Amino acid sequence: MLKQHSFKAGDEIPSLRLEKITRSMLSTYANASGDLNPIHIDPVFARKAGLKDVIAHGMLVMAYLARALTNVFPHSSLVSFSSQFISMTLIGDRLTCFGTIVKKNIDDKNSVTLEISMKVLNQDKEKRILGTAIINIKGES
Amino acid sequence: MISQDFIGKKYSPISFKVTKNKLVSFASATGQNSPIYFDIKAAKDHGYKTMIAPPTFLTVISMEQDQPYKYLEELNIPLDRLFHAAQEYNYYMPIYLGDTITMTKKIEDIYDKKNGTLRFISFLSNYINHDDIEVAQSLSTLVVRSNA
Repeated sequence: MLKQHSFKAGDEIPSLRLEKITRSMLSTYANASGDLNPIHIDPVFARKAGLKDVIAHGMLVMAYLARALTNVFPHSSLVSFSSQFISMTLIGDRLTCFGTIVKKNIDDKNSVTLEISMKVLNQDKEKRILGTAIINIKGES
Repeated sequence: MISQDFIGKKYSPISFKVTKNKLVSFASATGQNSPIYFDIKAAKDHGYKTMIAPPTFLTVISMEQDQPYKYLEELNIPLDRLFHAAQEYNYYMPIYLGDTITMTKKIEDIYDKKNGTLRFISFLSNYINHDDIEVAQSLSTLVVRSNA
């Protein structure tokens, strides 16, 4: 039986623990994504902007959260995915990604739709991202 | 502060060629380890016609310009006051290796919160592939802080 059929509302998907955020990860992501905003790669710029150090791209943390989904569900089942960037992700943060099924719907063709409430917390349980995903897997007829 | 007259402003379309190098470096930089994002044969074995882009790959397309932050000048937004508030994606089709994706973006809304100390600007973008099929839509919300 496919994984998604065994999930029910209230279940949690396996959480994803991430490596500590380093400046090197940010500069690698900056190059791969094309987002060279100095707030993520230049500590002098970040300090002039009133921050202690560079901060992670919100989109990098969102990409980590997406992995928590694609680790469990087929990529093609992802219908929508959204994130609110609640607080800045800092150098040294140890993040964990979580997801809880809040709604499950099965239609008359056995197609399963899951609404998943997601979050990324750091080691002090500070919320970095709150998100939502909709997963849809077509049924076998 | 950004004028609400900018609501509805459309930007010139951007076209982006999805290459193996871009897919692999993005998948790697975001810690992906599923082979469907790295290897053509693995993607095919999983039922895709070829390698596919990970879920947030679309962000690369908006950065695919000489000066991706140049649009801030016209809006009078200093880069050091700008933060990403929210991002939303709706997916219609996978993005495949070899696709040419065209993105069209417009300013969807401009509004204040917290007594005007935070100004939000949201951009709605549509993405179509070279067969003119819509592959995704995104809503990107940025926030400008009036003081540090």
